[in-house]
Amino acid sequence: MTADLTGVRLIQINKINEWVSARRLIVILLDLVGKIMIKKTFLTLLLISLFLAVPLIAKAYNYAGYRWGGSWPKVTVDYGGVAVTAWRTRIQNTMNDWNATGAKFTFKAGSSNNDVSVYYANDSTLAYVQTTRKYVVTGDITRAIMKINSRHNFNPPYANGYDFSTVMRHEFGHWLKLDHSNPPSLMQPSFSPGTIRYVDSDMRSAIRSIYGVQ
Amino acid sequence: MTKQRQIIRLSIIVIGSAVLFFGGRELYYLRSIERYPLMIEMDEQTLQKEADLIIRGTVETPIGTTRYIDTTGELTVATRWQVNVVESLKGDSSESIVVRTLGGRYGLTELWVEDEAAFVSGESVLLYLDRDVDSTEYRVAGMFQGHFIVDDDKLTQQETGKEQSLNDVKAGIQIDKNL
Repeated sequence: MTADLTGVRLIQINKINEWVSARRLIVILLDLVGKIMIKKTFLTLLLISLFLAVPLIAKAYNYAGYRWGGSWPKVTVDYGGVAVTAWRTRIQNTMNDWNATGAKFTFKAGSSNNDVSVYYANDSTLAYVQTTRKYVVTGDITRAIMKINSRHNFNPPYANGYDFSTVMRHEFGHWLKLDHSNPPSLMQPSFSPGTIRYVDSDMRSAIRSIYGVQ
Repeated sequence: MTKQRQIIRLSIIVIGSAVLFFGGRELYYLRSIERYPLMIEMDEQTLQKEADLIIRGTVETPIGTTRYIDTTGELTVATRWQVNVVESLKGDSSESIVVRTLGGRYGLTELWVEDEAAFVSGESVLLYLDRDVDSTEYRVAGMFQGHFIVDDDKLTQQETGKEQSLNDVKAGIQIDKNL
């Protein structure tokens, strides 16, 4: 059976289990795509442009363009190696801050290779998040880590130091694949001592947009 | 279907399959790592204080990339750049130095670092540089914060567009020296 669809011939396959030559199928698909693109050039170009522009659309946040896989990712964070008790408490609290956004994403504590650890380096980095992914079709994240540079004075315990909770909220924002934004923002690229930022409405909108709403 | 169209279609299939096979194979095994550092905010005074070396010069070509385990215990890729020094505003410098920026590709490992100083060969720069103990190579202090494009007296921080005057920076460094 054949049917015309706005001038494009579409061959209907009646029996799913019927063997179809791979070459014939690829030729048919290429022919179909080619005819659609010729007849609907403008539409095709518009769709391609929109697809490419989606990650670049400027909002009050910047999205890296890829995320944790699954319809509701539940990512286990291992911060058991962080020796400072007050820091572990704040890490859990900031995970809860992001969990409370109403997005289909959950941080949970446990043993995992997605770990948070402390290091010392004589440089101007407060902390960093690093994500790893394989460049397959989905490009999903396979692992995320967070490193905290103990060279710098954090609050606690230093009252005039960099607010530890703000730094953690920022870093978990990267964990969720938010890029840096212009200040003032939780996701601004640098902080001075005493700067405090929260997961605000822009951040909530961002995560809901990326992962969907519960 | 004419013979010509058959040949064209077959060619598309063959070329497309080859691209998918070889490109996809490399892409599948390519390990992509993205790093997102949060920096301390560094104004001009902080940059001057933290920098071991402040130079005006020209970025030449990248020397190459290197892969190593860094002080955080993580696999890191860095790109090494030759920078020709026109003028040293703080610290002693040779005519040519090596500056290392995080990021680059080494084999099947690719590291991208957000907000690292992005060098362009041939650009005229003012750089605030520091270095690790026992290292002969420099890095840009505060990443993007210590990287300025020079255009006569105007300095522009590439990432933010923040502008300064070169003469004001020199005057500030001189005041520091005199204190």
